[in-house]
Amino acid sequence: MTATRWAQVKEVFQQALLLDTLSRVEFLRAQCANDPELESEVQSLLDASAEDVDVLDTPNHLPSLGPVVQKMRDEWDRGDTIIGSRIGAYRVQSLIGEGGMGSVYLAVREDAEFRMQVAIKVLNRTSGGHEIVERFRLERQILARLNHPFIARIFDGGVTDDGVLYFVMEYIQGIPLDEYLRRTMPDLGTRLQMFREISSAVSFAHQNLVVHSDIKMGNILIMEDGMPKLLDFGISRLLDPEAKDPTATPEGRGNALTPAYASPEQLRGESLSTASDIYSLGVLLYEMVCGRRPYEVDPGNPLGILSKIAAGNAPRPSEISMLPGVQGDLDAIIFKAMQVRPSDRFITANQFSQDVAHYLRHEPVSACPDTAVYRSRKFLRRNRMVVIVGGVALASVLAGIVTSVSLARRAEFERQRAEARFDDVRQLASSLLFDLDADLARLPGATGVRGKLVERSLEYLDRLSHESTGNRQLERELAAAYERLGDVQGRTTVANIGNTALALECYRKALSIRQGIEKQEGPNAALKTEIAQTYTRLSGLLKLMGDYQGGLQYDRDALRMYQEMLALEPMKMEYRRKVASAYTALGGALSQVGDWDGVLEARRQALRMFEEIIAGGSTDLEDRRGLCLAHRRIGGILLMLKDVKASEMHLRKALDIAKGMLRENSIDSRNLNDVASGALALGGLLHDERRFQEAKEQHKQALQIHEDLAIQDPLDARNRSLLASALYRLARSMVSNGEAADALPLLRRCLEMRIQLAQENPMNAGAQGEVGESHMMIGDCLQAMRQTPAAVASYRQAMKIFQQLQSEGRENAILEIHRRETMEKLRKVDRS
Amino acid sequence: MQTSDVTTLLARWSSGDSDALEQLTPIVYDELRRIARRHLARERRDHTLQSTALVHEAYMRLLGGSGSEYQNRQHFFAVAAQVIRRVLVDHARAVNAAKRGGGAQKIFLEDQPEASVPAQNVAEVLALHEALERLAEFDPQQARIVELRYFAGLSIEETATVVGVSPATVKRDWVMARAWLARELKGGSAG
Repeated sequence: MTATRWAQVKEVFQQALLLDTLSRVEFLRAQCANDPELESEVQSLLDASAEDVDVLDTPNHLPSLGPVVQKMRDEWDRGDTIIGSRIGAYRVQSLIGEGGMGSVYLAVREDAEFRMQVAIKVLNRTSGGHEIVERFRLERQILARLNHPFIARIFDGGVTDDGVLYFVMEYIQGIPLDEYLRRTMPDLGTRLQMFREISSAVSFAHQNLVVHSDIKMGNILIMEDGMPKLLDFGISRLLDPEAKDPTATPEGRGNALTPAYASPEQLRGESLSTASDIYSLGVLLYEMVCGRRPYEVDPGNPLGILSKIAAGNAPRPSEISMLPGVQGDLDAIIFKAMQVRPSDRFITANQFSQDVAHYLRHEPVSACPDTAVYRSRKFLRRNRMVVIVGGVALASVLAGIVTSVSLARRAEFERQRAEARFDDVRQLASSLLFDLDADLARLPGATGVRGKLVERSLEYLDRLSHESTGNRQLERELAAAYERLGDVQGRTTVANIGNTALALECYRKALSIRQGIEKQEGPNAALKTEIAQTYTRLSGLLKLMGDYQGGLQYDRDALRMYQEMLALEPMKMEYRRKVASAYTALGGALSQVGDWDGVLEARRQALRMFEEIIAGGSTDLEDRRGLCLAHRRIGGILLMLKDVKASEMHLRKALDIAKGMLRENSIDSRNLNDVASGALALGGLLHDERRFQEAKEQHKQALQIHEDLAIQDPLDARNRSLLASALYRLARSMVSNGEAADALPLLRRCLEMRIQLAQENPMNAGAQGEVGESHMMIGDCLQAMRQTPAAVASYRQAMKIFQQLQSEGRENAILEIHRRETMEKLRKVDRS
Repeated sequence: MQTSDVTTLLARWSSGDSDALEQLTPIVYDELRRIARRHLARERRDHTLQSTALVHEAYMRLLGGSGSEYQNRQHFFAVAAQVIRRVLVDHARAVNAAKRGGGAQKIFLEDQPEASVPAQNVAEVLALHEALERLAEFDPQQARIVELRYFAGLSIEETATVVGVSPATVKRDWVMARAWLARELKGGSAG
């Protein structure tokens, strides 16, 4: 377009615009008699002018200006905008103080009937806010538990509209500890008593798995009545949760620590533990007693303090304190807390405080480094009991020990002792994971506790695995531990909390450790078993996530492993069992990719082997269970291949075996599950045979079992999924049996449960597919009730999900059938 | 920055001194974002900050108390519209670059530009900007009118005084430019 040409277009366009539509045609024809291009250009513009242009027509548009400007953060104009503004439910009133991490404001809750005053800490940092808030959300319950007279409560946290991170805390009217000491000049006894109060707060927090990690004078306020209040518990850890990067400087980590009080491991950016707080408490007591800190920090080189700590030549308090009564035993207590190696310090804040109490009462103090190993063992044993009772409290314990181990290992001359302690840790970790988890696994209702316990443990295992390189036995134990962790995180065949991604990570770690060992040691049967075991678990997970080919490959690998073992020792029953189970798993994988002939062959192999095992005289429950499963599975594939008679025979056999086992042990949830599965399978066949009344009976049986199990452990994702399936199946038979109206509520409940399950675990393609399946069945149900428009809406929702899964390449054979059927149903409705 | 400085710069710019515009832009920019920040601190997230309010408030803060000439106001709006356009376009490019994983060209922006801006807006702003550039090649006045209307949120009347034509002309040009842009944007050709 040239300017001249545009001027021509403009002339005609603007005149035409004044005319009505009819006159325009004539006008254009006249104006552009010899210029059809001009005519079409103007006509096209006229057409366009009648259209809505969202971008231009939205009144007071500028849709993205707000967020853009929101991003522009200026430190200099923040302060004045915060005062008077609202943060959360609070109106900010005035600035109370400013520090390295941020500013603290006094604020008042506006919507409350009483005027509740709070302190709001607004952090300087401008990045990672939402991540921190997410962590805060996770830790919130822990922080909320920190209800202690000497700890300032943290009520809330969040990110303001302009991206500023804040925490809402109890408003304390008090003065910082150092200032208080300068003003009131209390005697040594008062100071030590005050320190003991502070220690009790720290100890309380440690028992609640919260490490302060920034204990210092400025974070302790003394109230009018002389009571101390510790501020900011847990905050620095929220800001700097793992301190993974040892090269990160304190500055780089958001000023979350104060070098003068920070433990050496903290300064080095290593993992934090309760031991770090003990160190800071030592520095605090030193300063409370001496009026100065043990080591001064060079502002130009804050990390330079590390070499001073290592040199360890802080003046003795008894030599420099102006207070009467400071003697050598107090030096020993303080320096014990300030030991470079965490393991050499007091093990708990309580112990530290006890020693101060001994000193106050002129009793002998316990500061005696030789007993550290003994004591830590005892401590661990005690805390294991806590874990068993409370289910969670191992984090800080392990953290402290692991850190001390890794530090100790660096010193060659301490090697022997370090390894002895390392052994303790390993045993502790293993026993916790294995004994405790096995206990919990048998306990219905314990899934939540197991998940939490295991998640914590993973962190420490990762740390241990760095230490374990080269130690075969330990490596194998680690692999087993990872596998156990994976099981709790999401293995499909036992109660699990449905966290597939974490489980996958655990299994892959286990596999890579085991393959590493095999590479070095060459093959051996035990290792082969372990590797095959991991293959099987990985396969289960991949299939759950919709990677059916990947799962299939692992199943083949596992089968190959077991066959190799069986070939070497053909008489070994255990290997026979493994091969048989591997065939069962392979059959499942093949059915998910629609290789029905392959499935039938694998099922036959599995059944043959289990029949041989039982015929060989085995009464082992697992073998009976295996045979039961083999019958059920072959029944399934035969039904698929339309050999209904044979199928029904196998399914009834499977149900009989399961019922037999249940009669012998009616509490074992696996027996219950086997009966339910058998009933569902048989019910499916009867349904297909249009024997709906019989089918309903079977499905009701299954439903009842899963309802009962759900009451026992409402968190078990697998059972909830099976419960939803039972609902689905029963409803389906009811719809076919002419009871659509009664089936609809069942289907709605089923849909609700499946949506919930799918949300909890979005990587589970099957769960997504089942949501679609439920919509589809609701469509059928509504259609049977002659509510066609509603039925169409349900079919469309189903279609959307099926197509989504197809486009993501996560569709399996069953889902493909569903998708085609739904499409067909929609077409049918359209036609009629 | 003193009001008198802004006035002087505006006067210099209106008399053809392009250096003055260079100095003016960051002042206006700073003022705009300060105002925006204050609004955002006061209001909830879903509040749609209106550019009209933004620009007028910036004007009042920079020039308001000075009894400055009527002309200044018009020049100021013109600068403001350009500034806002630049901010939005730079932002949109930064978001695009961040999406491609390349090193984002962050002119006015700090961290994570993509965090809260819907992708559609980003695409729209870029497409509009590029179409406007093409339009300016053969009808700079129409392009300018759209810039003032869209980016500074000026009314037909305000636009008319800034551009120095009658409101009727602005209206006619606006309708035509809008039609042309609608066609361009619909065609999806983003240059």
